[in-house]
Amino acid sequence: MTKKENFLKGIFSENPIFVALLGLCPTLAVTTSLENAIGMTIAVIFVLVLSNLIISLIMHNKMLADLVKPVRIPVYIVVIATLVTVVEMIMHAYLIELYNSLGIFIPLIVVNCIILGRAEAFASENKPIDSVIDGIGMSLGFGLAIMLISIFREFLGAGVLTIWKSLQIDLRFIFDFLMIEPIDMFIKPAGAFISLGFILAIIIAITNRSKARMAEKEKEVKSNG
Amino acid sequence: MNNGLKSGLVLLMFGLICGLLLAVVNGLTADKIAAEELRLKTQAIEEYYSPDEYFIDIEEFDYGKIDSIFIIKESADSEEILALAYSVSSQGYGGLINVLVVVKNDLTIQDYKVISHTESGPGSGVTDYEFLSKDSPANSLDDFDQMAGATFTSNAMRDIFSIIAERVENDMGGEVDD
Repeated sequence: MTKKENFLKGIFSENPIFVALLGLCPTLAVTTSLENAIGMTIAVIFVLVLSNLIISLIMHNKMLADLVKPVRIPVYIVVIATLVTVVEMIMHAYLIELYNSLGIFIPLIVVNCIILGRAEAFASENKPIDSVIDGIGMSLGFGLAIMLISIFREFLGAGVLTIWKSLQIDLRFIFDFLMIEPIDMFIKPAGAFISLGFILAIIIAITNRSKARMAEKEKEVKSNG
Repeated sequence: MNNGLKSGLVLLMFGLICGLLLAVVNGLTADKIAAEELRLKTQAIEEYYSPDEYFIDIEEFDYGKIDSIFIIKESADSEEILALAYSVSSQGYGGLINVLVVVKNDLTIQDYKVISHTESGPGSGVTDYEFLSKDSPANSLDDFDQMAGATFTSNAMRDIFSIIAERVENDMGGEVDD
């Protein structure tokens, strides 16, 4: 696998949210606004890239790897929990409004199965540089997915898109033009499930269509050849 | 060496390294976190009492659930207290809920704001839910409205308002530091 393929797989073919359906708890909970999704993405990028790097460095040192192997999962958890606590303290100090808005979902990054999954499935068996690239790709894939869901939910639920603090894009004129009110339900938990379901259905429909086209093209090539 | 002991020592070593790193980061961020929390509280008070127009004194407490009381007066030498802003914490479902409650000198609640919380599920709406309406008496919990489906969160909020209800009359009479 080339470095480019390694990076892109996290965003497209192995997207943790839309393809693997991992880490759905924060995905459904924090996507009430785009600002929350951006904050969560920054936190996950920091944790996933560094945890992949540290775990790969540990497992590529023969002496350390032999010592750690029997207790590797607790060691991964200790590393991940430390990184999450560091993010939590930094966010509390410098982005307190975002910290309050994300609430319990920052410490819950520790048990996000994307982080532990990448540590066990990729970082422990690959070189540090590849693990960092995998971490960047996966966290960006996670981030883009939750941003897409939050855009969908915040637009339909509130008619605005909150990018950062008071920086908002007001799209209520669309609702005014249609003479309807924003649908508050999309900001609520039920709206999270409905939004994710809609987006997944659209993505699967597009993927199936492109696969069918590819298959048709292959057939044509074979029959012509 | 026994394998179990070896694994235990490995985990201990990782724990120590990570603990040390966290201590360093905590040392770097603790003051900033305290300053940011104070900023949020003063910002909430400033919605009603600008420091340019009013004198705001802070009484800090090292024990109990109240961590500080902001005393708002017309001027530094004024005897009359215009309002008191209580910063109180109580245990919710996910952790501590910290609330700033502003009480006017007629013993009614001017406003309150949830400064920090880690509630999840129905309790995550703690910031928007109206447990007590503005202008309701601060020394009584008769008007307290429980949040449906969030018993622990509601109990924490009730605890916060009851702490204030118990002492607000004495505090307004000038016994804040008791």
